Amino acid sequence: MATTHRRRRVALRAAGAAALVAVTGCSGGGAEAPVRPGATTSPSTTGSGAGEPAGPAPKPSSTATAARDDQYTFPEKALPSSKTEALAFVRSVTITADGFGAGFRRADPYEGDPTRWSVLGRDCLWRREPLPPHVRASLTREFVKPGAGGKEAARVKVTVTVHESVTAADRDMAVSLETSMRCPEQRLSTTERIRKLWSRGDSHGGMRAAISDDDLNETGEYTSGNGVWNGFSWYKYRLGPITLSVTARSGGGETEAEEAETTTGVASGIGLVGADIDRRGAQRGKQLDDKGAGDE
Amino acid sequence: MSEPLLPSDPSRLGGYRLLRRLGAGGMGVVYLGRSEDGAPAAVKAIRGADADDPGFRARFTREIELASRVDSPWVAGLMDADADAPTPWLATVYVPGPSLAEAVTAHGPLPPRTVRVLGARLADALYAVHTAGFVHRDVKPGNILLALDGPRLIDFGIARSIRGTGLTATGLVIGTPGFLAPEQATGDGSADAGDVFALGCVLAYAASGRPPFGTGTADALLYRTVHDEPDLSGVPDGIRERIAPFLDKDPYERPGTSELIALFGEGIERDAPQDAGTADHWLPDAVARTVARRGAEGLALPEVAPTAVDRPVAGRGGASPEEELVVERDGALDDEAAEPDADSDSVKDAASPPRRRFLAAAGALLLAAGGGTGIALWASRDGNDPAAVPPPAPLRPVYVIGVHTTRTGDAARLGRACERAAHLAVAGHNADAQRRDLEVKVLDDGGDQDGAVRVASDFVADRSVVAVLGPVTEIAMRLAAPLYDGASLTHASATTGLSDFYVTSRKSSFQTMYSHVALGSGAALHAFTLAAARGATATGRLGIVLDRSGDTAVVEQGGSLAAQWRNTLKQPTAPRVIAASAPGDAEAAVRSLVREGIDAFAYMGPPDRTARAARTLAATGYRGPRWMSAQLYGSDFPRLAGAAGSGWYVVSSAVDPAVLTDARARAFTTAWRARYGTAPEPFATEAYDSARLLLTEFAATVPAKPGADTRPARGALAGRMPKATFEGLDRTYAFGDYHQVRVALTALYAYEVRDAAFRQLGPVSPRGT
Repeated sequence: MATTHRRRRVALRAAGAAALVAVTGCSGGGAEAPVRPGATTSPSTTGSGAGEPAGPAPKPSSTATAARDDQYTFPEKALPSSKTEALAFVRSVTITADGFGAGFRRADPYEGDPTRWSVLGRDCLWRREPLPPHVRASLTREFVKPGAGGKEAARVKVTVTVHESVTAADRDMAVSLETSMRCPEQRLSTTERIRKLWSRGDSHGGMRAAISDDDLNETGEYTSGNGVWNGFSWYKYRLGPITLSVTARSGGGETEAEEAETTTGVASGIGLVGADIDRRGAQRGKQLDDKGAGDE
Repeated sequence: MSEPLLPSDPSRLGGYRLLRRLGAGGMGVVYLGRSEDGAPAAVKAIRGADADDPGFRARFTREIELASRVDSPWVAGLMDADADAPTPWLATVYVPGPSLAEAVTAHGPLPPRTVRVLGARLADALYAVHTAGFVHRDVKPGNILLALDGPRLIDFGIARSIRGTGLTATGLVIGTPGFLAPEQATGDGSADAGDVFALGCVLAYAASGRPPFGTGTADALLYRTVHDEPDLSGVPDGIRERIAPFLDKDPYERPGTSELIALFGEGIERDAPQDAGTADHWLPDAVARTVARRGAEGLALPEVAPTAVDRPVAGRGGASPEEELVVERDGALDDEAAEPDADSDSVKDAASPPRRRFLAAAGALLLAAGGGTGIALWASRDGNDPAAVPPPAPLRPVYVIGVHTTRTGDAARLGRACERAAHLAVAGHNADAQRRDLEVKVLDDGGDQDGAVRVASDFVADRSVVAVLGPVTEIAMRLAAPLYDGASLTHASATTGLSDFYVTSRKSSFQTMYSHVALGSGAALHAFTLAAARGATATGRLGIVLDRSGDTAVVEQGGSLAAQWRNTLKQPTAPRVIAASAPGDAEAAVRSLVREGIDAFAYMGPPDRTARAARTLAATGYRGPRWMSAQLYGSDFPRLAGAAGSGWYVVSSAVDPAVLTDARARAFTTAWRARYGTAPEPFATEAYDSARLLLTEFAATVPAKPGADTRPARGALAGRMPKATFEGLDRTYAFGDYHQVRVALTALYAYEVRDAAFRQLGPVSPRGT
């Protein structure tokens, strides 16, 4: 129960981020017309409340105007030191399918090869390549919401990557921002393509509603090769030396409200994962402190 | 005041994201929420027990319908509600101000005039509530929130009356002992007259600082309410006799709500709340500051619990803005000698004790010379309450233009230009002896987030401030805009260009600098013009480095430049993005771009890092065109880069007025030189035009009758601005639907660094094209 409640709160922050994406997404278009925030109303229930374990103290929610020292982060000192430990760490990060919205379940296959990660080549084609030395572990997990009534399935891919340092993760964020500038149209496979990419980067210090140390948001369109283009989003957050990247593509045929709900759902799901990494980082940091104190 | 959400709390109700708990009671929980368009709301979740009762839902639906008819500016109105939701809820306008209870606790009894205004407006509120068919049943100091323009009655009884029907049957008391009428205390009923009694208790409390039936246990309070006479001994004459009839034990002897308005309403207009700038200073200054500050916290930082009681600024290590507060009266240009403090440059060290002494002396001089309000200096480090030293009352209205400045870091040069521009614009106005009624007030936000909030709060609380030039920096704009908006105080920044301010501030915020998106496009246009001038058919390949230490502005401007290059000029780009924590990477990026082969180069980053890149670029032997980000115009770049900076371009919407040849522009440059001993600096012209734009539009809101004691409503200026057309020195200023300034291609200027200075080349697009 406690987990469920925590999730709701976490979802709140992520939903704020999603709203911001929608709101700021317009400014790149030149018209500069703020649009309706990612409008959706998720059904809510009142918890039975009293007497439940509260779990770790929740962080205050983020809003469009305020975010001070409440971002998701991960202390560099808590970084898993070996590749084995790092892989165990990324596997331990909790990702629940329904965190991305009702109907999502694990895809088959579920996990990607943890010894490789995706790299965008000079030819704007994404390839899976062996991890470079500065990456300790990277694991991609995929979730799917089967399409109904002839629609394609909606898919969410979550990649948690442990870098060797905060700077290495910061550089990886820079590379990500660069990819959309370098290749506004990208090939994911021989048939799948994404296009019309528009991206934005907000560091936490810039007071623009970043919910982690650094937020990237990218939106565009995706096709599986059948000529139909549907919505595509890429969120990438940096928590200290860890990056959390999520791609989401719509199955198409959704109403505006459904699409907005999906967007909010995915953003909420990312918030949950971010919160879990944040919590684990705080725990590891504390354990190290305790151990350090015990050694003296 | 508010608390974090509990694990059991929902994250949303209807279209509202819930942010914090404002309170909990018998009816359910009240949350601070935000609607999808960002408006704050008090969202009340009706406790689960009633949700299964279909009769309850039907009554709730009817009450929601009735509530939407409550028509008073002094009631926090209904925004939305849903009786059919699993948890029925209703959302009302969120008022971030302190409650009357908090204000009296912190500041003591309110002055008679404030109590009279409070009485008149609460009577109006109660009248509206009763007319719509409600009985409030819980009028008490905690349910009256204070805003700068008047009180707000909250929680006006929806649902409570529904439940009340059931509960009174069981003999339970609804309401708050101490503010409860005797007939309610004995369970005999609760009609309109009960609310009147409660209002009498509230006003007695506001006027004397203590409830008329004392404090203590509920039983004791109820007993005294039924049997004892109210203690009105601390209530001043003139108020006491008006309140006494409210407190009659017999409900039929009490005045009705329409009579209440007559009792308190004489001479007090029913102002619309959006006229936040109406002259009537209904709150004492100390309380007004608490209200403004609470508003700042409530609107900007809903997840930070507002402090219960406002304290004078504590002595921190550094200078607080209050210590730097300087109100200067600007004389005409020929009055220079009588203005020891006219040069704002000399104000820089306002926080240091010698400086304070100087300012105090200058203030004394000005006062001796009959200079109106002169200087008010709040030396709050010494623990002085600023309210304790009121400025002398002006003989007629004095209007103050605020400058929300920054005197720290690279932005200090922009802040100085804005301060000087405001002084000059005001001096020009006051040069006409018939209307020496303007002053400039400068507050420095210190370049940080807390400072931006403090400065905006102080300007909002100072009712003499009619418009603000600023803020200077992007972060300050982001934080301050919603605060100015909340108080309908119009402000214009001449130095910021991110367009998302409109998301949180839709009425009162304006920018006169062109957006970063437009400036990025301007650089692409300049490249095209240059290529055409040398007979080239294309601009070629652009190597562009985005240095993320320049944050969102750099990403927007650089992203726009690259996108225009690719999509409009149809030419290739080679982007490199540099991590903020890895500045050394820039050197390798610059070198690799040159190795790959580029025809044009741009570095989007802060001055020092751009200068370093310039040196690297020079070392590679690259001699093609090269641009820096627009924010660097007027910066230290030429000095930092030295010889390597020579030949760099920057495209800015700021003009160098030296190239303007018409008489008005020459007069401006001459006046600037006379006053400051230097040519107008970068952004001085736009800041000056922005200040004049504000003044001109403000002037149109001032009543024609000279010497009138009424100030124009603050909101009136904000209402005029979107429609304003202002002839500046080099362009016409007008705003679009989202308060974005209209872009004139002829006002995008290209500069080249030569001989360690920025030399204007002219508009990127020649006039007429």
